[in-house]
Amino acid sequence: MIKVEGLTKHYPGGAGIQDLTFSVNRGELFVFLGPNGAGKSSTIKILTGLIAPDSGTATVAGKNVSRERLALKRLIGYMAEHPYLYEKLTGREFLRFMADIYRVPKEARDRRSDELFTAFEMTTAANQLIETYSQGMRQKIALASVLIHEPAVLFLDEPTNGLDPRSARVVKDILRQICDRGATVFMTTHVLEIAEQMCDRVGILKDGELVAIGSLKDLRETVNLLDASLEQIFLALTGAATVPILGLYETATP
Amino acid sequence: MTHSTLPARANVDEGLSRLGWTMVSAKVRAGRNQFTVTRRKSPVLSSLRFAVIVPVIVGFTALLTIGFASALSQVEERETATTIVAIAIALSIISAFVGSSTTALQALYLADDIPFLITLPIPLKVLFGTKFIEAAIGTAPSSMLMTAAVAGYGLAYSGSPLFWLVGLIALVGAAVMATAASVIVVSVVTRFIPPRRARVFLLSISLFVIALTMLGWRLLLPQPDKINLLVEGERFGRVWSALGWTPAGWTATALTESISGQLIVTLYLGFLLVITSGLAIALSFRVFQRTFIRSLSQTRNAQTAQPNESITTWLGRGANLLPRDIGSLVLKEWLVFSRDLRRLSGAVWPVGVVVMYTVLLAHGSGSAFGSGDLQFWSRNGSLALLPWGLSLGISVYAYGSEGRNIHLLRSLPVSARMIFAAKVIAAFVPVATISILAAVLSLWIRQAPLEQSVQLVALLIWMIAGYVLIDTAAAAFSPNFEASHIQRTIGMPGRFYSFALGSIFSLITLVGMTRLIFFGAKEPSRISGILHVELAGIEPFGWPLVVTAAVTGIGVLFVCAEVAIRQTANILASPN
Repeated sequence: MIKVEGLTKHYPGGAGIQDLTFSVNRGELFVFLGPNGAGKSSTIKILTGLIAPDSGTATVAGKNVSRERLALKRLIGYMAEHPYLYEKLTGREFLRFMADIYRVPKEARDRRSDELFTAFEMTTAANQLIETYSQGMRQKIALASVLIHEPAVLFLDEPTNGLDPRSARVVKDILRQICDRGATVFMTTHVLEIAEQMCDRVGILKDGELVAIGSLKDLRETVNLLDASLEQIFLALTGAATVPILGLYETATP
Repeated sequence: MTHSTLPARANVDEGLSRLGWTMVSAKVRAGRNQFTVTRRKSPVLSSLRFAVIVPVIVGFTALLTIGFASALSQVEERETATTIVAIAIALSIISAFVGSSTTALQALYLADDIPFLITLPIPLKVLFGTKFIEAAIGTAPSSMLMTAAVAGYGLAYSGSPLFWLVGLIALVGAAVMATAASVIVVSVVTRFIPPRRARVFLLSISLFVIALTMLGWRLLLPQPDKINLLVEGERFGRVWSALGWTPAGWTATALTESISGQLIVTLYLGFLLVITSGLAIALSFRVFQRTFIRSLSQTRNAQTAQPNESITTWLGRGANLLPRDIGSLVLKEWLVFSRDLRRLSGAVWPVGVVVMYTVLLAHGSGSAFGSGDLQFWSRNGSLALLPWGLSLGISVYAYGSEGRNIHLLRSLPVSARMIFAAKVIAAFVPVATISILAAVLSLWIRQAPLEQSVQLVALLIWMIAGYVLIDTAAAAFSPNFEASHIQRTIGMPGRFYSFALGSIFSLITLVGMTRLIFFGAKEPSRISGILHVELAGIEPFGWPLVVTAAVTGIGVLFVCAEVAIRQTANILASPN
């Protein structure tokens, strides 16, 4: 469903991605991990047709991400790390807006809206302006808005940001459910427990390079730690941070 | 670890000026960094902006100064000159108040950094001081008038160094007093109206102040319809009795006395000006201090407003008439228009002008000339320009007002053509509704003949379509997605683009329409010969002129639309 070959993108500041090659199958829940600035969001933006790569090719749902952008956007859903929402629309109006843009039939639009509001436990907030929503509710309405047209591939940048444990569980269950029905999910997260619990495969990015890819079992074999948690694998591959002794609080506080 | 010594903690009550300087310098640095980024992104545009804007401002002020100097040098009586300078200063202070009221609201209550700053150990005095300086920036454009009046007076009467010192104090004093008045009004208004809704209310107050000024102008000035400075001195008496006791009157008197070499009176009035400015700051701080926290907590109240269901339903029905994808974009715009008054705040001025214009037209006899058709058009033709102002207040913000949500549009399967069409349709409806209603009302009050009225409305629709399309194209030409203030969501090149293309379109339409009118009306004898010149058996200033104007007008709109669609495509493809 996603096929990437030699994808490279350089930025003047030095960050970017280098020669990425991997593929994600239909119905798979693929999690992209990496330290801050490793290139996760850049990869998602290239795969969703938002920025052009310097070199390499990528196809998503059979569409070339550089040449067939509009057709690609019709088949995918993308949720940014800090979701973009129209504050002056209600949650229901925003879902209607997104559904109409994707030309979802009216009946399906209304049915899916109701289902999503119920699933995300937002029925009472559906007719309130988005500007009144908490961070968790904003995250949920953003996720609902990218699900409403049933995209073949879903790109989610940190979808569990700001969610309470109950809502995070709802999101995990929904994503698992749609993957079991054939949708492909490509997501990034910093919460390794979530990745560990829900992913089929993991890709680990460091300084723009893919340092490991595979199922948890594959990764454990890669680092030769058969009982390792995803956190241990991640730190083994990306390097553990060492904190120097700080000069803070050397004198006592009152 | 020993606990015998406590760390030296900053005493927040000390070093207020240092704290203030820290905040001001942080703002200056942020502005400088922003400028550096802009210059790096588009060096040519940045240089061009400076090369155009600075000479325009300096040139305009210089021209105004020369005008004042030349007019005042012809005034024989000193009292008349003082009154004229007082009028200029009073107008400058009023326009400074109007200019700084929204800036004060933005700086003191709506600025992005306010929620952050109130978490820091910054005394309210310092916060007020730095925000007062920010608010005072809003007085800058109007201070050009006062600068010109003072400098013109000084040049006309060879002002002494004392004159220029008093002039400088007066300039600062006027800015301070106008800003203080704005802060007081804003503080009182936000005490009752949540800050996010206060902008429109403040603009209404500004319009009211302008209307009062116009009324005062008509009542007090000797010849309100002709600004003639060379009228007899005694006829300015009524104006002086109205202005003499105000700061504008003291300032003008101080300037006159300094020219006459009356040191004591000059120093006394100068001192009075400084004291008044200080008192104005102190009073505005007291009002601000009493209302700030309560007003700020009201910001949240404005956000919990429930949408009006019947409006939403009607707007939805309107959008349903369009294809679904364009309809959804248009509906989104309309819902934002109806719920976010900030989005329409740019239109308050033009709407106010339209209302005043309608009232004036309804009561006045107009500047009618000729007979029949010509009389109708000379009296009512200017109604066709109403949508220009409205469009400048609505359409030019079509792109920049998306803010960071432009990234959402970029991720959706919508084409540049579709977005542009949706933006044009979304702006066309409110501009058309207000313009046509105002025009029809004016024509009805004046009992204009039906046939010509229908022709005028047809012309109006053509103008609405043209201006909305041109201004939406200008919005695409230089949007500013970073601005929090709606009126800054379009850059200067976009404003120029809008003004230049709007002027060309107006001129072309005027030429074509005038020729059309002359087919039915009696032509003035002066131009009759020209209109009927024949070249190879054809009258080029007859139908060919009308057709050429129509084709050129359509051509201008077509080019604008194509450029805008290309620009929209660039925005959608932009990596940033």
